[in-house]
Amino acid sequence: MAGNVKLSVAGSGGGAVADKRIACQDCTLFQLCLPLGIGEDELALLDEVITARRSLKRGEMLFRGGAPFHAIYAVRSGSLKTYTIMQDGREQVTGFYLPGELVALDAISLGRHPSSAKALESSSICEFSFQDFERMGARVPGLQRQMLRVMSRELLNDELLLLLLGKKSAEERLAAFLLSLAIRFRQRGFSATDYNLSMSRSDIGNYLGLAVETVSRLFTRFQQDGLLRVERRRIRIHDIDRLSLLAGDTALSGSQRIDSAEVPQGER
Amino acid sequence: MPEQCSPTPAGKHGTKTEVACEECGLFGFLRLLTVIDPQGERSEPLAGVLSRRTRIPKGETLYRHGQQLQAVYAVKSGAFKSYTLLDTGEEQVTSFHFPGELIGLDALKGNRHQYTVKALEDSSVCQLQFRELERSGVRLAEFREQMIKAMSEKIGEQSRLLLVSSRPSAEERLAAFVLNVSRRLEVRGFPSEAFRLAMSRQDIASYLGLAVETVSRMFKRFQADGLLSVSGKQLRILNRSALQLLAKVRD
Repeated sequence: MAGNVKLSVAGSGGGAVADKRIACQDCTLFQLCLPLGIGEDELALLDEVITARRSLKRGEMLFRGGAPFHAIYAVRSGSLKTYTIMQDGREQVTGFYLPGELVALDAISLGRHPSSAKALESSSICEFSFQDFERMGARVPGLQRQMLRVMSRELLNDELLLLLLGKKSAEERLAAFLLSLAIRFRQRGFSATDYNLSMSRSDIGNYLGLAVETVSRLFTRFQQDGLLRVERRRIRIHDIDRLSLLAGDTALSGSQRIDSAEVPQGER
Repeated sequence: MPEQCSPTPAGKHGTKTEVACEECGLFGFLRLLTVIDPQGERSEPLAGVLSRRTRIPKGETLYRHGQQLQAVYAVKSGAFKSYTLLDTGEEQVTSFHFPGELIGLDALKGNRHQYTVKALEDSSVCQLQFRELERSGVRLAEFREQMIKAMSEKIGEQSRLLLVSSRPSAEERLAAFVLNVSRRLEVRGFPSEAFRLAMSRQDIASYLGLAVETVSRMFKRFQADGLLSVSGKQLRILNRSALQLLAKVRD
């Protein structure tokens, strides 16, 4: 049931999921979100847990840092960023969230949100009450197991990025970032080599600790070198092998490494 | 549940070396693993599921990359590093683990460890044996609930670490690192102004993506500027707000 979910890439325009009341079984992210082999009855229960399906406009806040924690959010389409405000009043980006990913996992243990979350583009999200989730955990053990798998994957992805960011040059850092997005898209059945960067150049610079001009300059250079093609926000990776090499992909362990062999012909 | 925990011994210089059970990442699990007998008295946690205070001498490996997940570990005393080997044979340090922190949660997906974990000094760990859980009669739903809380805490920790490695300059990165270590020690009830850095300069450099010389030079400069004092592995923060200003983080 899992695997081989082929979805159109976010931002491919039109036909975006618009129906806010769409039930879980009809959602394109079904396989990513829900435990394998979940039964009909359990699905009905799940529709109880999901308290709201909402759309966010670009720039709209989902929650503010410091606010009490009640719910977890799944990104259905679009993307979000989380950030905190630094001592000097500047914004520090702490993470980006793509379709199929859960936002606010770090708030469960604290009971409040450590950062604020904002939509980077028109997005739709599912909201589920954590209290209901806990109540249901005992009845549907598969739900808890799935949550643990998702959290473990998030930890691995963060570790990978940490590992890649421990690199010296701006070039290596940007390559690492693009590669880590490729891996996350692929994990969710999207194309690893053709995706939309919904975050601005300045968000990317902020997140990676690079000047905006450096980010833009590097994109131009990567393009000149034939590594990728950038058209505004759309990224098409032409040479994932070289990009991996540049990102210090040797540090990646087997399961996370993107092999060019795994990229379907049409995408190369 | 302090009655279940042996008293925390004092270290060589009267400083404590072990994390108190109440401050430990495994503490929440203790309630679930404890059988209450008919007299209402608590017994020791289920044997076999929780093993305590396994000594790991300096330089010993806790688990290796690729190894199957057997247990989740909590650092009881000492410190550990996670690393992976690059094609060049070089070690790339991916994280450090301090007393009270859990190690191995990232292997829940895939059931295999992605990194190798090694003791930086003589250390001890408590272990939650996964294999034993199913037959131990533990209420699994509650157990998973607790696990979800532990993972959430870990995810929060990770995103703060990302802030450290995303600092643009060597100076900011090292300052953010020192504050991060200090905060993590404080959370678990250890002194956060004066502490011992268990890891070598080499490890710090590898972790932060800096040259060893840069790390040493920065420490000297921080010292000359009166931000902190270092002698060998002992570190004392002298001017925390200046350090925070430099790191541009609140950590």
